[in-house]
Amino acid sequence: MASKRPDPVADELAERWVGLYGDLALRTAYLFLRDRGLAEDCVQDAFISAWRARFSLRDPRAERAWLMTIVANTARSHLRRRVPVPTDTIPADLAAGDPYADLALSTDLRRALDQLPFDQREVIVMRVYLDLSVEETARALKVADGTVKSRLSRALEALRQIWIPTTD
Amino acid sequence: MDPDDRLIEELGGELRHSLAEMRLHSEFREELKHRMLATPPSRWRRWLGVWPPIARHRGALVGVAVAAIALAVVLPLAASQNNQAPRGRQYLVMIPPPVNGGGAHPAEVAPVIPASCGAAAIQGAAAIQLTVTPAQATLRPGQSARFTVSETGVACPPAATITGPSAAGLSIAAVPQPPSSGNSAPVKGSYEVTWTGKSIGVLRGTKLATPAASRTAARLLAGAYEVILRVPHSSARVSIEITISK
Repeated sequence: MASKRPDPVADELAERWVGLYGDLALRTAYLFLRDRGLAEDCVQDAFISAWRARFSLRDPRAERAWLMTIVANTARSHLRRRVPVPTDTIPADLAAGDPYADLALSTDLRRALDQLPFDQREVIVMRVYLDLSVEETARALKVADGTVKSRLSRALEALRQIWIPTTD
Repeated sequence: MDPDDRLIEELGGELRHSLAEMRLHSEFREELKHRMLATPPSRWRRWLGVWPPIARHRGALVGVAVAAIALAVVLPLAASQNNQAPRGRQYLVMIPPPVNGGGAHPAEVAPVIPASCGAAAIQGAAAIQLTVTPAQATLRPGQSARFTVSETGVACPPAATITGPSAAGLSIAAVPQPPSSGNSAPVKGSYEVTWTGKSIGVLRGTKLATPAASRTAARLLAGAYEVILRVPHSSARVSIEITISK
């Protein structure tokens, strides 16, 4: 089979994306999907999509936000097409499994995150974990800036009811 | 400091701290890079990104273009590709249709299934064999059976089989029922796939071909199904659990 001509620029870009953003993308996807395997699938899909669309990124400074937005959108579509598995077929140890089991989060915080509606968890991930600006988050979620602010405010309020930070 | 800002800071710190150890495996990174480099850039996106008048109104134009392309080209193409077998190593388990309309029926699998390494031929090596246990199980509505598929024989060349550490995919394709099975009463089935002991539900790349009347992806009508599992090269054990329910 004939091998493709090497492209040093593409090689370097792929290396940089995976090296710089791979782990962050995995963690972001995990916060959405709460399953390591699904998060890896999501990262793979998101990076392939982003790679195909890389020429549409006009501002290189926005690369991180752009890529993480693709990860978030891919995670959302994964959640949408995930087929619910009948609970009576799930082994008991899996059914009782703890979401975020791979994380060293406090029990209260796990519970708090788990109880947040998806749209609020989404804003928490983007604003709090990824530290995106209100404008970047709004652009990523295709909502108004005010919507981002109100969702974040509601999410924080809900978290406050359950979670007390350990560091004070 | 504003209470919200303080909470954001503390929450962000805890999330970052707790996720710090989560990293992509090195083999996943390599595989991902290879896949990216093997994926050509989207030419129309490249074109749209360069031409300023288009770039300014990109959203609307992209929407129209995507809709047109999807209707004209992609959908028929995707429909035709659904009939193609997935690449990579494949394990096949045949679930025959119910006998006499529902009730108990055997779910038979061949005890030893020959497997191949996708399109790559193995030169001078013994064929791979997959052992499926139990070789036979009886399923009643509501019951489930678990099949374990294990592999013996030579390993496939990695280039021919690696699909990514977590890219195992399940596809279920309806195959024609034998004429002797008659018009059996509809028995709906659902499936559960476990991957190294952990529920994976339905994975990326799943293709589920069901009759047009059945639009719910998790429900299968009575019939014979081929369960095709694609697994990464590094793992040779999978288990399949199929539950039949009315």
